[in-house]
Amino acid sequence: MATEKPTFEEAAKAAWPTLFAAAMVLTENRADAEDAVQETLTRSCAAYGSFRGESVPTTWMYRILVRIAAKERVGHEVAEAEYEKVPSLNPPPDALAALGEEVAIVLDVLRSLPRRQREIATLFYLEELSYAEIAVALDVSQETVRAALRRARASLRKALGVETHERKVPDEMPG
Amino acid sequence: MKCPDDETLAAFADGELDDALWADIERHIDACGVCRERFQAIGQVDNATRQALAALKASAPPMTLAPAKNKARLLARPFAVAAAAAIVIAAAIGGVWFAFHERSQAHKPAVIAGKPPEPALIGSVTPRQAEPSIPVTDVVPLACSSEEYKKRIAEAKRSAVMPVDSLPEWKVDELRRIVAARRGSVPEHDG
Repeated sequence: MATEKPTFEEAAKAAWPTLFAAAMVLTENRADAEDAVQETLTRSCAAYGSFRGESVPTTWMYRILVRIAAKERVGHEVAEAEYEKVPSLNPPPDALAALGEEVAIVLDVLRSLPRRQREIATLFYLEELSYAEIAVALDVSQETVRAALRRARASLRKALGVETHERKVPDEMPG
Repeated sequence: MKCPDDETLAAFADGELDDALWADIERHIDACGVCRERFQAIGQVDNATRQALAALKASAPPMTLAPAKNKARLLARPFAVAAAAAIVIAAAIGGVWFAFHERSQAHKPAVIAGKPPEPALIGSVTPRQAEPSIPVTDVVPLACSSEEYKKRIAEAKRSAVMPVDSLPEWKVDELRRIVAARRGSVPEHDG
Protein backbone atom coordinates (compact mmCIF):
# COMPACT_ATOMS: atom_id res chain seq x y z
CA MET A 1 0.00 0.00 0.00
CA ALA A 2 1.27 3.43 -0.91
CA THR A 3 0.37 5.21 2.29
CA GLU A 4 2.71 4.83 5.20
CA LYS A 5 1.53 2.76 8.13
CA PRO A 6 0.59 5.05 11.02
CA THR A 7 1.96 4.46 14.50
CA PHE A 8 -0.26 2.40 16.74
CA GLU A 9 -1.13 5.44 18.77
CA GLU A 10 -2.27 7.38 15.70
CA ALA A 11 -4.26 4.40 14.48
CA ALA A 12 -5.87 3.83 17.87
CA LYS A 13 -6.82 7.48 18.22
CA ALA A 14 -8.40 7.52 14.79
CA ALA A 15 -10.26 4.28 15.42
CA TRP A 16 -11.43 5.04 18.94
CA PRO A 17 -14.84 6.67 18.30
CA THR A 18 -15.73 4.08 15.67
CA LEU A 19 -14.69 1.21 17.90
CA PHE A 20 -16.68 2.61 20.78
CA ALA A 21 -19.83 3.08 18.71
CA ALA A 22 -19.38 -0.36 17.17
CA ALA A 23 -18.91 -1.95 20.58
CA MET A 24 -22.10 -0.29 21.77
CA VAL A 25 -23.90 -2.18 19.01
CA LEU A 26 -21.99 -5.44 19.23
CA THR A 27 -22.26 -5.86 23.00
CA GLU A 28 -25.21 -5.62 25.35
CA ASN A 29 -24.43 -2.48 27.29
CA ARG A 30 -21.99 0.32 27.84
CA ALA A 31 -19.87 -1.44 30.42
CA ASP A 32 -19.37 -4.43 28.12
CA ALA A 33 -18.71 -2.06 25.24
CA GLU A 34 -15.96 -0.25 27.13
CA ASP A 35 -14.36 -3.53 28.13
CA ALA A 36 -14.52 -4.87 24.60
CA VAL A 37 -12.86 -1.73 23.21
CA GLN A 38 -10.12 -1.88 25.83
CA GLU A 39 -9.45 -5.46 25.00
CA THR A 40 -9.46 -4.64 21.30
CA LEU A 41 -6.81 -1.97 21.83
CA THR A 42 -4.73 -4.26 23.99
CA ARG A 43 -4.80 -7.06 21.46
CA SER A 44 -4.34 -4.86 18.44
CA CYS A 45 -1.40 -3.16 20.14
CA ALA A 46 0.27 -6.52 20.66
CA ALA A 47 -0.49 -7.60 17.09
CA TYR A 48 0.13 -4.27 15.35
CA GLY A 49 3.59 -5.33 14.24
CA SER A 50 2.08 -8.03 12.08
CA PHE A 51 -0.55 -5.73 10.57
CA ARG A 52 0.58 -5.15 6.97
CA GLY A 53 -1.72 -2.28 6.11
CA GLU A 54 -3.89 -4.45 3.86
CA SER A 55 -6.90 -2.48 5.11
CA VAL A 56 -7.25 0.72 7.08
CA PRO A 57 -6.27 0.14 10.73
CA THR A 58 -9.79 0.96 11.90
CA THR A 59 -11.23 -1.87 9.82
CA TRP A 60 -8.52 -4.23 11.03
CA MET A 61 -9.30 -3.31 14.66
CA TYR A 62 -13.02 -3.67 14.00
CA ARG A 63 -12.36 -7.23 12.98
CA ILE A 64 -10.62 -7.86 16.29
CA LEU A 65 -13.49 -6.19 18.14
CA VAL A 66 -15.99 -8.40 16.33
CA ARG A 67 -14.26 -11.52 17.61
CA ILE A 68 -14.07 -10.22 21.15
CA ALA A 69 -17.70 -9.13 21.13
CA ALA A 70 -18.83 -12.45 19.68
CA LYS A 71 -17.16 -14.28 22.54
CA GLU A 72 -18.65 -11.82 24.98
CA ARG A 73 -22.12 -12.58 23.70
CA VAL A 74 -21.80 -16.36 23.68
CA GLY A 75 -24.46 -16.61 26.33
CA HIS A 76 -26.82 -14.47 24.32
CA GLU A 77 -26.04 -16.30 21.10
CA VAL A 78 -27.48 -19.50 22.46
CA ALA A 79 -30.81 -17.82 22.84
CA GLU A 80 -30.48 -15.69 19.74
CA ALA A 81 -33.29 -17.35 17.85
CA GLU A 82 -35.61 -16.57 20.74
CA TYR A 83 -34.07 -13.19 21.28
CA GLU A 84 -34.95 -12.16 17.73
CA LYS A 85 -38.59 -12.97 18.22
CA VAL A 86 -39.00 -11.03 21.41
CA PRO A 87 -39.46 -7.32 20.84
CA SER A 88 -37.60 -5.39 23.47
CA LEU A 89 -40.03 -3.85 25.90
CA ASN A 90 -37.58 -1.59 27.63
CA PRO A 91 -35.25 0.96 26.17
CA PRO A 92 -31.61 -0.16 26.39
CA PRO A 93 -30.25 0.61 29.85
CA ASP A 94 -27.50 2.87 28.62
CA ALA A 95 -28.72 6.32 29.50
CA LEU A 96 -29.15 6.91 25.81
CA ALA A 97 -32.04 9.25 26.37
CA ALA A 98 -29.72 12.22 26.04
CA LEU A 99 -28.83 11.12 22.52
CA GLY A 100 -32.43 11.08 21.39
CA GLU A 101 -35.07 8.48 20.76
CA GLU A 102 -33.88 7.69 17.28
CA VAL A 103 -30.45 6.66 18.52
CA ALA A 104 -32.07 4.31 21.01
CA ILE A 105 -34.27 2.80 18.30
CA VAL A 106 -31.42 2.30 15.86
CA LEU A 107 -29.21 0.80 18.54
CA ASP A 108 -32.00 -1.48 19.65
CA VAL A 109 -32.65 -2.73 16.13
CA LEU A 110 -28.97 -3.25 15.31
CA ARG A 111 -28.43 -5.14 18.57
CA SER A 112 -31.35 -7.41 17.84
CA LEU A 113 -30.10 -8.44 14.39
CA PRO A 114 -28.50 -11.86 13.95
CA ARG A 115 -24.75 -11.68 14.57
CA ARG A 116 -23.49 -11.55 10.97
CA GLN A 117 -26.04 -8.99 9.90
CA ARG A 118 -25.19 -6.91 12.92
CA GLU A 119 -21.46 -7.01 12.23
CA ILE A 120 -21.89 -6.20 8.55
CA ALA A 121 -24.45 -3.43 8.99
CA THR A 122 -22.46 -1.79 11.77
CA LEU A 123 -19.29 -1.67 9.71
CA PHE A 124 -21.23 -0.47 6.69
CA TYR A 125 -22.86 2.42 8.51
CA LEU A 126 -19.84 3.44 10.57
CA GLU A 127 -17.22 3.46 7.85
CA GLU A 128 -17.63 4.39 4.24
CA LEU A 129 -16.68 0.99 2.85
CA SER A 130 -17.63 -0.85 -0.32
CA TYR A 131 -19.29 -4.27 -0.24
CA ALA A 132 -15.98 -5.75 -1.36
CA GLU A 133 -14.07 -4.12 1.49
CA ILE A 134 -16.62 -5.28 4.05
CA ALA A 135 -16.52 -8.79 2.59
CA VAL A 136 -12.74 -8.92 2.95
CA ALA A 137 -12.76 -7.37 6.42
CA LEU A 138 -15.23 -9.92 7.76
CA ASP A 139 -14.32 -12.96 5.67
CA VAL A 140 -17.68 -13.30 3.99
CA SER A 141 -18.84 -13.17 0.36
CA GLN A 142 -20.15 -10.02 -1.25
CA GLU A 143 -23.49 -11.77 -1.65
CA THR A 144 -23.60 -12.20 2.11
CA VAL A 145 -22.92 -8.50 2.54
CA ARG A 146 -25.70 -7.59 0.11
CA ALA A 147 -28.22 -9.89 1.70
CA ALA A 148 -27.29 -8.82 5.22
CA LEU A 149 -27.69 -5.16 4.33
CA ARG A 150 -31.05 -5.80 2.72
CA ARG A 151 -32.34 -7.54 5.84
CA ALA A 152 -30.81 -5.00 8.21
CA ARG A 153 -32.35 -2.16 6.22
CA ALA A 154 -35.74 -3.84 6.28
CA SER A 155 -35.58 -4.17 10.08
CA LEU A 156 -34.42 -0.59 10.48
CA ARG A 157 -37.09 0.68 8.12
CA LYS A 158 -39.85 -1.01 10.10
CA ALA A 159 -38.55 0.20 13.44
CA LEU A 160 -38.06 3.74 12.17
CA GLY A 161 -41.51 3.76 10.64
CA VAL A 162 -40.36 4.51 7.10
CA GLU A 163 -43.19 3.47 4.80
CA THR A 164 -42.41 1.96 1.43
CA HIS A 165 -43.13 -0.87 -0.98
CA GLU A 166 -41.05 -3.98 -0.66
CA ARG A 167 -39.92 -6.10 -3.59
CA LYS A 168 -38.16 -9.33 -2.84
CA VAL A 169 -38.14 -10.34 -6.52
CA PRO A 170 -38.34 -8.16 -9.62
CA ASP A 171 -41.87 -7.43 -10.85
CA GLU A 172 -43.05 -6.50 -14.27
CA MET A 173 -43.49 -2.80 -14.25
CA PRO A 174 -47.15 -1.90 -14.48
CA GLY A 175 -47.92 -0.07 -17.66
CA MET B 1 -37.34 -2.53 -17.42
CA LYS B 2 -38.65 -4.51 -14.47
CA CYS B 3 -38.75 -2.88 -11.07
CA PRO B 4 -35.50 -3.85 -9.39
CA ASP B 5 -35.65 -5.98 -6.27
CA ASP B 6 -34.70 -4.52 -2.90
CA GLU B 7 -31.13 -5.78 -3.03
CA THR B 8 -30.48 -4.33 -6.46
CA LEU B 9 -32.05 -1.03 -5.54
CA ALA B 10 -29.91 -0.88 -2.41
CA ALA B 11 -26.83 -1.72 -4.46
CA PHE B 12 -27.81 1.16 -6.72
CA ALA B 13 -28.05 3.48 -3.74
CA ASP B 14 -24.69 2.21 -2.49
CA GLY B 15 -22.98 2.73 -5.84
CA GLU B 16 -22.30 -0.98 -6.15
CA LEU B 17 -23.63 -1.62 -9.66
CA ASP B 18 -21.77 -1.61 -12.95
CA ASP B 19 -22.30 1.46 -15.08
CA ALA B 20 -24.78 -0.04 -17.52
CA LEU B 21 -27.14 -1.40 -14.87
CA TRP B 22 -26.73 1.72 -12.81
CA ALA B 23 -27.85 3.86 -15.75
CA ASP B 24 -30.82 1.54 -16.41
CA ILE B 25 -32.02 1.83 -12.87
CA GLU B 26 -31.48 5.55 -12.77
CA ARG B 27 -33.73 5.87 -15.84
CA HIS B 28 -36.25 3.51 -14.26
CA ILE B 29 -36.41 5.49 -11.03
CA ASP B 30 -37.07 8.64 -13.02
CA ALA B 31 -40.05 6.96 -14.62
CA CYS B 32 -41.43 4.82 -11.78
CA GLY B 33 -42.95 6.59 -8.80
CA VAL B 34 -43.05 3.45 -6.68
CA CYS B 35 -39.35 2.78 -7.11
CA ARG B 36 -38.51 6.41 -6.52
CA GLU B 37 -40.30 6.14 -3.22
CA ARG B 38 -38.47 2.91 -2.41
CA PHE B 39 -35.18 4.55 -3.25
CA GLN B 40 -35.98 7.53 -1.04
CA ALA B 41 -36.90 5.18 1.80
CA ILE B 42 -33.43 3.64 1.63
CA GLY B 43 -31.97 7.12 1.90
CA GLN B 44 -34.13 7.90 4.93
CA VAL B 45 -33.17 4.70 6.71
CA ASP B 46 -29.50 5.20 5.93
CA ASN B 47 -29.51 8.79 7.10
CA ALA B 48 -31.23 7.98 10.35
CA THR B 49 -28.86 5.08 11.01
CA ARG B 50 -25.72 7.04 10.14
CA GLN B 51 -26.85 9.92 12.32
CA ALA B 52 -27.56 7.61 15.23
CA LEU B 53 -24.16 5.98 14.95
CA ALA B 54 -22.49 9.36 14.57
CA ALA B 55 -24.17 10.41 17.83
CA LEU B 56 -22.83 7.26 19.47
CA LYS B 57 -19.35 8.02 18.15
CA ALA B 58 -19.59 11.52 19.54
CA SER B 59 -20.61 10.13 22.92
CA ALA B 60 -17.41 8.07 23.17
CA PRO B 61 -15.51 8.78 26.38
CA PRO B 62 -11.96 10.13 26.09
CA MET B 63 -9.64 7.43 24.87
CA THR B 64 -7.85 5.47 27.53
CA LEU B 65 -5.45 2.61 27.48
CA ALA B 66 -6.01 0.65 30.63
CA PRO B 67 -6.97 -2.83 31.64
CA ALA B 68 -10.67 -3.51 31.15
CA LYS B 69 -12.28 -2.78 34.47
CA ASN B 70 -15.96 -3.50 34.27
CA LYS B 71 -15.99 -7.24 34.31
CA ALA B 72 -15.45 -9.17 37.50
CA ARG B 73 -14.35 -12.15 35.47
CA LEU B 74 -11.31 -10.24 34.32
CA LEU B 75 -10.01 -10.43 37.83
CA ALA B 76 -9.75 -14.14 37.36
CA ARG B 77 -7.34 -13.76 34.47
CA PRO B 78 -4.09 -14.99 35.79
CA PHE B 79 -1.44 -12.69 34.49
CA ALA B 80 -3.22 -9.65 33.20
CA VAL B 81 -4.71 -8.19 36.33
CA ALA B 82 -2.99 -10.39 38.87
CA ALA B 83 0.42 -9.10 37.88
CA ALA B 84 -0.67 -5.52 38.44
CA ALA B 85 -2.36 -6.36 41.71
CA ALA B 86 0.65 -8.30 42.90
CA ILE B 87 2.96 -5.43 42.12
CA VAL B 88 0.76 -2.93 43.93
CA ILE B 89 0.51 -5.12 47.00
CA ALA B 90 4.20 -5.82 46.91
CA ALA B 91 4.98 -2.13 46.70
CA ALA B 92 2.62 -1.37 49.57
CA ILE B 93 4.38 -3.60 52.04
CA GLY B 94 7.81 -2.72 50.83
CA GLY B 95 8.55 -5.85 48.91
CA VAL B 96 8.48 -7.82 52.08
CA TRP B 97 6.25 -10.61 51.01
CA PHE B 98 8.57 -11.38 48.19
CA ALA B 99 11.55 -11.35 50.46
CA PHE B 100 9.85 -13.80 52.73
CA HIS B 101 8.59 -15.92 49.90
CA GLU B 102 12.01 -15.98 48.28
CA ARG B 103 13.71 -17.06 51.47
CA SER B 104 11.29 -19.76 52.36
CA GLN B 105 11.12 -21.15 48.88
CA ALA B 106 14.84 -21.07 48.31
CA HIS B 107 15.24 -21.19 44.56
CA LYS B 108 12.22 -19.42 43.16
CA PRO B 109 12.95 -16.12 41.44
CA ALA B 110 11.78 -12.94 43.10
CA VAL B 111 9.90 -11.67 40.08
CA ILE B 112 6.17 -11.65 40.15
CA ALA B 113 4.30 -13.14 37.28
CA GLY B 114 6.55 -15.33 35.22
CA LYS B 115 4.69 -14.88 31.96
CA PRO B 116 4.30 -11.35 30.68
CA PRO B 117 2.47 -11.63 27.38
CA GLU B 118 -1.17 -10.90 28.10
CA PRO B 119 -0.58 -7.17 27.96
CA ALA B 120 -2.86 -5.55 30.47
CA LEU B 121 -0.36 -2.80 30.92
CA ILE B 122 0.73 -1.11 27.81
CA GLY B 123 2.81 1.91 27.27
CA SER B 124 5.81 3.38 28.93
CA VAL B 125 4.38 3.40 32.42
CA THR B 126 5.20 1.20 35.32
CA PRO B 127 2.36 -0.84 36.74
CA ARG B 128 2.23 1.30 39.85
CA GLN B 129 1.27 4.31 37.78
CA ALA B 130 -1.12 2.27 35.73
CA GLU B 131 -3.97 1.74 38.17
CA PRO B 132 -6.44 4.37 37.00
CA SER B 133 -7.21 4.94 33.35
CA ILE B 134 -4.30 6.45 31.51
CA PRO B 135 -5.10 9.16 28.98
CA VAL B 136 -3.43 8.04 25.79
CA THR B 137 -1.43 11.22 25.57
CA ASP B 138 0.53 10.13 28.63
CA VAL B 139 1.41 6.82 27.14
CA VAL B 140 3.90 7.77 24.48
CA PRO B 141 5.45 5.88 22.87
CA LEU B 142 3.52 2.66 22.96
CA ALA B 143 5.42 -0.55 23.01
CA CYS B 144 3.98 -2.71 20.34
CA SER B 145 6.60 -5.16 19.26
CA SER B 146 6.61 -8.14 21.54
CA GLU B 147 10.36 -7.72 22.15
CA GLU B 148 9.94 -4.15 23.25
CA TYR B 149 6.92 -5.14 25.26
CA LYS B 150 8.87 -7.79 27.16
CA LYS B 151 11.61 -5.28 27.85
CA ARG B 152 9.13 -2.83 29.28
CA ILE B 153 7.51 -5.43 31.44
CA ALA B 154 10.93 -6.37 32.75
CA GLU B 155 11.72 -2.71 33.49
CA ALA B 156 8.39 -2.22 35.19
CA LYS B 157 9.02 -5.19 37.41
CA ARG B 158 12.46 -3.94 38.35
CA SER B 159 11.17 -0.53 39.29
CA ALA B 160 8.20 -1.84 41.24
CA VAL B 161 9.88 -4.53 43.31
CA MET B 162 13.25 -4.20 44.85
CA PRO B 163 15.22 -7.39 44.29
CA VAL B 164 15.66 -9.30 47.51
CA ASP B 165 19.42 -9.50 47.02
CA SER B 166 19.76 -5.76 47.36
CA LEU B 167 18.26 -5.67 50.87
CA PRO B 168 20.67 -5.97 53.77
CA GLU B 169 20.22 -9.09 55.84
CA TRP B 170 18.94 -7.25 58.96
CA LYS B 171 16.25 -5.57 56.91
CA VAL B 172 15.08 -8.83 55.42
CA ASP B 173 14.72 -10.27 58.91
CA GLU B 174 12.87 -7.23 60.16
CA LEU B 175 10.52 -7.23 57.21
CA ARG B 176 9.84 -10.89 57.69
CA ARG B 177 8.91 -10.22 61.31
CA ILE B 178 6.49 -7.51 60.24
CA VAL B 179 4.85 -9.77 57.73
CA ALA B 180 4.65 -12.58 60.23
CA ALA B 181 3.04 -10.27 62.76
CA ARG B 182 0.46 -9.22 60.21
CA ARG B 183 -0.33 -12.77 59.43
CA GLY B 184 -0.45 -13.62 63.12
CA SER B 185 2.18 -16.30 62.87
CA VAL B 186 5.87 -16.66 63.52
CA PRO B 187 8.00 -17.23 60.47
CA GLU B 188 9.97 -20.39 60.23
CA HIS B 189 13.66 -19.87 60.20
CA ASP B 190 15.46 -21.28 57.30
CA GLY B 191 19.17 -21.78 56.75
